[in-house]
Amino acid sequence: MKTNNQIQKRAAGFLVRFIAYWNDAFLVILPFNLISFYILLKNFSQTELIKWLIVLLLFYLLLGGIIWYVYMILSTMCWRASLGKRAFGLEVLNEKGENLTFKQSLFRFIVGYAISGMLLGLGFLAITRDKEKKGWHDQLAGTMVVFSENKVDPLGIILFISLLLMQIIFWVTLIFRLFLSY
Amino acid sequence: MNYERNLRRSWEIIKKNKVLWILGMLLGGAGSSFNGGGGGNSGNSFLREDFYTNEPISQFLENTVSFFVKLEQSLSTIPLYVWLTLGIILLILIIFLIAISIYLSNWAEGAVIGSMNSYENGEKITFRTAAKYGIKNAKDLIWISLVPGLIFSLLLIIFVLIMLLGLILPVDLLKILWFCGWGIFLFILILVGAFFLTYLKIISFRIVVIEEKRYWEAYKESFKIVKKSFLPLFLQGLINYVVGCLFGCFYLIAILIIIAVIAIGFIVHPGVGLSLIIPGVIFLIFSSVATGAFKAFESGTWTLFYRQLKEQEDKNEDK
Repeated sequence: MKTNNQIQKRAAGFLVRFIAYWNDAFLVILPFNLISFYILLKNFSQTELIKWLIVLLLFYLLLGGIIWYVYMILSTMCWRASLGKRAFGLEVLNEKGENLTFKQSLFRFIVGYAISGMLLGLGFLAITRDKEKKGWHDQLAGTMVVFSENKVDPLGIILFISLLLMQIIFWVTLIFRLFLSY
Repeated sequence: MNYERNLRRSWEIIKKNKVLWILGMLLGGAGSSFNGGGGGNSGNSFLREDFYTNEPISQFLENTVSFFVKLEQSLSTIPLYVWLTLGIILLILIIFLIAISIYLSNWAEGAVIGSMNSYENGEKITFRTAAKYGIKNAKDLIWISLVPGLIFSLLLIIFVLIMLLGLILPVDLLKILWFCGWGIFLFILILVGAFFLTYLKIISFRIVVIEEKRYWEAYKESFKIVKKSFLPLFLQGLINYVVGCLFGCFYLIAILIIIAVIAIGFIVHPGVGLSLIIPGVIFLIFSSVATGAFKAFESGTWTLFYRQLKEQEDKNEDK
């Protein structure tokens, strides 16, 4: 029975979920990084370079939130977890131990995250105090984040380190190109 | 009608159930009351003279200034169609955010009303149970929030346009009489209409959540209740208004004290002022929780008022 599966599966704690969140954030910013890299490699003048980076940044600022939510809602609904969570072997299940429906996923990420994030992310930190390791968004939506194989997949850490290094390289290159290489 | 009991009981329920404080923040848009700590001109007093003679740092500063000059030039070369596209995306985003905030506030309203009612029936309040009340009733509550207000606004626009027709009258005296007459009529309409619509909305919300009726039936029933019990409603509203003013005064005094302390800190030394900003900001954020709790308390008094009203009606029917 799926409910028994859910109970037997280990609930995921705050740290692994926090790192998985950053994996997802870096993945969502990745297209911005890649397009920016492409612009940086072109032989633009300083003015042209700044212009195209500003345009890209403005588009991403406006669309970034929507991309994030669509990605999180659809991936959780279709694959039980976003890529960042899947790398750690995590799943997001409902009270019956099943995949979230579209409405449940929409509610969890829009209403749930709004409430969890309202007080400096106190709702997310609530995961550390809860017996079932549920944040406020999980309690509201009736969801749970568990390990599918009852262990942490090291791929999650490898992905996090790779994406973090990529971000560092990107931002250092950008600052160097914009501010220091006149 | 026992108004004191409504206030006392609502306060007791709010004190014991912190879930309602969080939900209450969405009711009043309490997060938007946060406006940050006071600012101040920190000046350059902590920069030493030899700072500017340091070669790599002065080069960096020159490059930074040059960057902002080029930024201004770059922005002026961005084609118009790019700005238009960004503008359209921004507009869609704003509409989307407005829709979400409407859903959130009405969802929270349903959650708070349902939780209060279920607590009085002996059930426990949790995020999950509160969420279920909100999800179940959000759509009907949105209809009640938006539609009557829109209809009222439309009527007002029509009456204002009728009033403006007075401009075509040939005689000045007639124009004055026309404007005065319609002006007084509109003033009374707005005053009575505003009260009536507010109470209709309050009672309709409770009927939707507690009696589990659809918005149109709830609105019809609340119309009868408001007509019959206008005075008790008005008194409860007045009491809530006074309590709200008292809370608002305390809140304002606290904010002013925080701002004054930060400003004094900046006068003493910029470092002191800066170090006070973070605790000030944290205080302001958590004072939003207090505002949320108050909004939930206010909603609670109305829910208990409605329950009392129904009890009295049921007693009268039994007699």
